[in-house]
Amino acid sequence: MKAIYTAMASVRQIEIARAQSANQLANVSTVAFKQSYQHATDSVKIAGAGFATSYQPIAVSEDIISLAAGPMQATGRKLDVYMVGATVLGVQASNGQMAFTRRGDLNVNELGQLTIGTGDLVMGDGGSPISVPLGQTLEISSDGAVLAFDPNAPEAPASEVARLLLRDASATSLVRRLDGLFEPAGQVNVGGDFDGGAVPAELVSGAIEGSAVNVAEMLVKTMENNRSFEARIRLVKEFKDLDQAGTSMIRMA
Amino acid sequence: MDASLWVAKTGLTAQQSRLTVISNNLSNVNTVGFKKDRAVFEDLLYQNVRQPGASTDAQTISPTGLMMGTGTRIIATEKIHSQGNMISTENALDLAITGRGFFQIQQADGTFSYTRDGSFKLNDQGQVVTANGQLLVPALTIPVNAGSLTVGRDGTVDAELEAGAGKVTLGQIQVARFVNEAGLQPMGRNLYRETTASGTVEIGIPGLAGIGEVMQGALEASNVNVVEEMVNMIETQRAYEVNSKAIAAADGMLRFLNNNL
Repeated sequence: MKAIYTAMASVRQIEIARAQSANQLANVSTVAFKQSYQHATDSVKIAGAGFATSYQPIAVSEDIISLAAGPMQATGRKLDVYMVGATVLGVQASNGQMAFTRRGDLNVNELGQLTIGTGDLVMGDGGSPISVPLGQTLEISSDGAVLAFDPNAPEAPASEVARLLLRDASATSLVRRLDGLFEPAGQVNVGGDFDGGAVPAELVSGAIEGSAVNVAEMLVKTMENNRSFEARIRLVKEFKDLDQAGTSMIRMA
Repeated sequence: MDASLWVAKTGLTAQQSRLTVISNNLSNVNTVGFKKDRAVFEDLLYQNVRQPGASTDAQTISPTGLMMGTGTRIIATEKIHSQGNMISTENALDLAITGRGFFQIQQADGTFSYTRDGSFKLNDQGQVVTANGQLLVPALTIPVNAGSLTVGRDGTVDAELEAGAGKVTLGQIQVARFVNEAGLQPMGRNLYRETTASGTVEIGIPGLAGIGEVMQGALEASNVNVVEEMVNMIETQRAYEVNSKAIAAADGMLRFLNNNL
């Protein structure tokens, strides 16, 4: 096993980490974007013939959604909601599966159904999409009830249209789906509901959650990746020089 | 080439578009009936690098997968149809809608468009038209001998005729409403067009069934909040900068690679 391959492997193994840092920086304006990627390298012995010195670095990564809060951005819009703590909102993904999100920029689509900003249908606590009455003012209460007010009868109490499917994910690991929505770690590729934790789900209406990306941290990480990349390339170069020295030694005169 | 270069590039493109949206909002800060836009960001589809539940060796499976992000994009610019401030003008033909709804306007090709801009004028035939000369629907003609004009909150237009000729009711202004106002297509000139996303139009009497009321002698100001747009602009600029930093870093690494190997 040539040492130059070990050096090259170390360059390859941080490639994904660098792309992930760039992805987090790119999503610094995405509503309620969550960080998820954790990266480390581990040394693994390569089995096979030869001396027991064949070790290669291998990336060890974890991709669990961190529900650390993003900044609260007040918009004053009644259908914008900010989810407190580890609350997540159930939506219907485009393939019909149930998935979760932190996006709280709710809208009403052309069929009068409640959707999030990406167009996925918001689910009611019965597990079906929420249809809202036409011509009524909508508000969302802090416990997730969708309330409709009749503008002609301001003194009349609000009628509850539905309740949002909110779950407390403080005790459940969520992973990312290909479409960017979240699903419980045990139900990969199938989506579906999970049992919420003990903390009651809570919302703040009139605000949305900004991206949870910490720009300073990501820039430092980028810098670190940059320098460690240079160090690893330097190592490849050293091995190249070493190999050249070996070749020139046995060259025929 | 390096994936991070292209991922950071999507960030630059999206922030650039967002700045355009902000500039458009700021330039329309004095446009009557203008509704501000909000750029809606979305993370792009993820690449499945390692499937969750894949075997790591004969006994163990990986508990989590690895979804590699590919950047960001702006999926929509969403019109925020919140109420603008009322500017009192004391002009009889300046109308504002308080609440939901739009004035219906006839296009040259016979189709309808919708507007919140109620700065109406009279054309040479005494018809009520927009500042661009397009007819209000249903058509309303003001007689030459009309003295004062009153528009009620329900849209009823009355004229007090000159020389004691009495009072006549000229018609009733109707207001159009959509399920999803944010789905209307802005056409420019303060007009919106119905789309599939907006749902079909419902015409109704102002003040009934949740439709907004008509207010005479006032105009609805733009709902752009200058302070908010300034903050958005600062954020956009900084986000643009960090993405260009990521590109510079990837560029530096590739240069180092080329120079040293």
